[in-house]
Amino acid sequence: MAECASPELIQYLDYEGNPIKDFEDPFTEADLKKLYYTMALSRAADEKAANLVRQGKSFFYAQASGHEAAQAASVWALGSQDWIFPYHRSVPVLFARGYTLAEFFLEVMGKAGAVNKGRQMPNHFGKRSLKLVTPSSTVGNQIPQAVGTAFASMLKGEDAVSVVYFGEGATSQGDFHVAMNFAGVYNTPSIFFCENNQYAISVPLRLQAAAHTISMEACGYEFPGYQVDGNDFMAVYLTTKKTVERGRKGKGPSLIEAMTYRLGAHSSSDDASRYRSDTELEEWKRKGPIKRLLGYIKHKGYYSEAWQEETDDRIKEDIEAALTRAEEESIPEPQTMFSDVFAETTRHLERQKTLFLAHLEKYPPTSDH
Amino acid sequence: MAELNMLAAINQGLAEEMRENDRILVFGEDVGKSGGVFLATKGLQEEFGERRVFDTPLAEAGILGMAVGLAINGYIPVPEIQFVDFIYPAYDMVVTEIAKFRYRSAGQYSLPMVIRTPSGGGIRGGHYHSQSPEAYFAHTPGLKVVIPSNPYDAKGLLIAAIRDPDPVMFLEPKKLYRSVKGEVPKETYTVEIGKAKLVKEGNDVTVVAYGAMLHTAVDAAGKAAQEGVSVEVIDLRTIVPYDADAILASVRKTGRLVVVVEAPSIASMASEISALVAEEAVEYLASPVLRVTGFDTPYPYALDNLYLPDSSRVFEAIKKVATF
Repeated sequence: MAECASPELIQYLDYEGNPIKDFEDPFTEADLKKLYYTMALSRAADEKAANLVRQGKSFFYAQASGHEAAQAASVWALGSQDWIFPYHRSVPVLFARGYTLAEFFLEVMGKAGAVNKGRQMPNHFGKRSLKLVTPSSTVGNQIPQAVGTAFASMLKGEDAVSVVYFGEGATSQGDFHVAMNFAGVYNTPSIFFCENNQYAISVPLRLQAAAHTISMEACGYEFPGYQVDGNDFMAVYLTTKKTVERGRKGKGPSLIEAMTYRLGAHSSSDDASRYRSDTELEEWKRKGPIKRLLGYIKHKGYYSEAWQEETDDRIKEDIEAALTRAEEESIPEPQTMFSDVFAETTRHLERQKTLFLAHLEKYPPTSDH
Repeated sequence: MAELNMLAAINQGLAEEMRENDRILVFGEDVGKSGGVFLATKGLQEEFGERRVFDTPLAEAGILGMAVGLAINGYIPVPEIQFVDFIYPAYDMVVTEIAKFRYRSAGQYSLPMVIRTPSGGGIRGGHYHSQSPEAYFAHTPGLKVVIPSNPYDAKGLLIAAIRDPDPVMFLEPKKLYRSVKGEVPKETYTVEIGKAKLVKEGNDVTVVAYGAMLHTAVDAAGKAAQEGVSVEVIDLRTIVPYDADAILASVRKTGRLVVVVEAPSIASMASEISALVAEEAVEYLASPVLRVTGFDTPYPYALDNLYLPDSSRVFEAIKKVATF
């Protein structure tokens, strides 16, 4: 075996955001502040979206709070040519890639103007122009698909990599291993990015994986695996960058296991206090990703209270504006249900649509719909 | 025009279309060097190279999962699943992913691809080399499903499927691979997806069939003719979107319908077509609609020939509706 998993957790910053070892820092002041904006915006939008469910304005939401560094700093290492396969907790990925707040809230509320036209429940975000691939709910299905886009990039001689995100629960699925094997066999420019937040809904890691770490599972497929502190944006960025360069040079796939923690429940339908302790939650809050980024900004001497206040205020305003826009938008028209099944609507679907619209003439949709 | 069997027609269709479009990729288990277990892809790797025609690890979910990504990123995958009975490790990829990508992304992503796979019984293959699961796929919105009955249609439908903007399940009746021959033009041509074929005109009874059962239906129509019953035989060819207009036009003329499929009857295409006629042409019916199908048992090995509808069963059904 030429290369395999690193035995140690990769970390560059302590829990306060101070460097614990030497590294080459590619981030400018503007970069760091932009990353902060993205991560803080994602956190605030996430909390707002969770609140919409509590207010009865939305039906479902899966929070990503706590995953900001793992996602935003890994997307930071990508170029616009690269393919991204998000999963249901990929909210910071969206904002780091350029998905807008307006698009986010339209989707969360299932409105007509949403990118997906209200076709899917929240947390299935995708946008072709950003090379964000729309996911399903089945855990792990996106992983072999990402090997396909990577294979295609390789055939075309492009230097694009394909990054696929998933939780540690997905690594128990056959599709994870099938995909790792295909990537290993074909040496595709693939990055398997596992966000290990310790729980798949309520099932803890020790009941999920026999392997000591997820990253070492790469060994069996003959490519490197890295375990990084997923709340340390620098560790995430520098490690992802390394795997991206490896992919671009045609050297093949990599697996990254980013150790993190979700600060909220699995979803709006879950109560995490049934299976996680307060002590554990408090311990992970101490290692929180946004706090550590702010600590690093302070360490570099770029911090001012005025900057943070101005940024946080801007985020609040942006969210309110996006939310108002989404609330004002209507729900999708009934006939839109029948489009996009095929490129052209079939006779069968035309007939169903016609009969159904005639029925709605007689029984117009009420607010209960 | 050359006389070809169905395998040769499929092989030629793949080769001709691959010459015209270099975005087409053929892959699956044993399809490369060995040319596939039925030899449907014979010679393709030699001509088009290992980048366009390649063997995969033995994992159906990987084959179809990778097909999704290849289609997203600009290629037209034509993966082979060695037997449709083995597609279930990838069933999730078909019904959850491939079928729904266009809809769930509101048209942003489409997945043009053709999943070629041998289907159906009659080769003494037991449960796992004989089943006809087209109804599973027909029941999933977003998939087109095609089943040819002869070499000419097999080539033309395959090329149409490759050119189609949506994913197509291309189920090849393996019993017909070498048993049916016909004239096939060398050049590329298409047979329109969604159009049935009127195989034999008649006035008294309509029989709808497809795939290997089409031949059983034609035999039965011949027997019926000897007894003075004029049977119209329709080869459905496309299961989704099926040609309802052709079926309805024929039933409006004959007033009698028999549907023949080799799959089990519950929730089968025979059931679907019966329901179509009940909904849209009941006033034309002079007798009940009859289904002649495989039985609702797992596919048996030793009793293979008895399980499959034969011309005597179809003939009896024709007589029954004709004399109702």
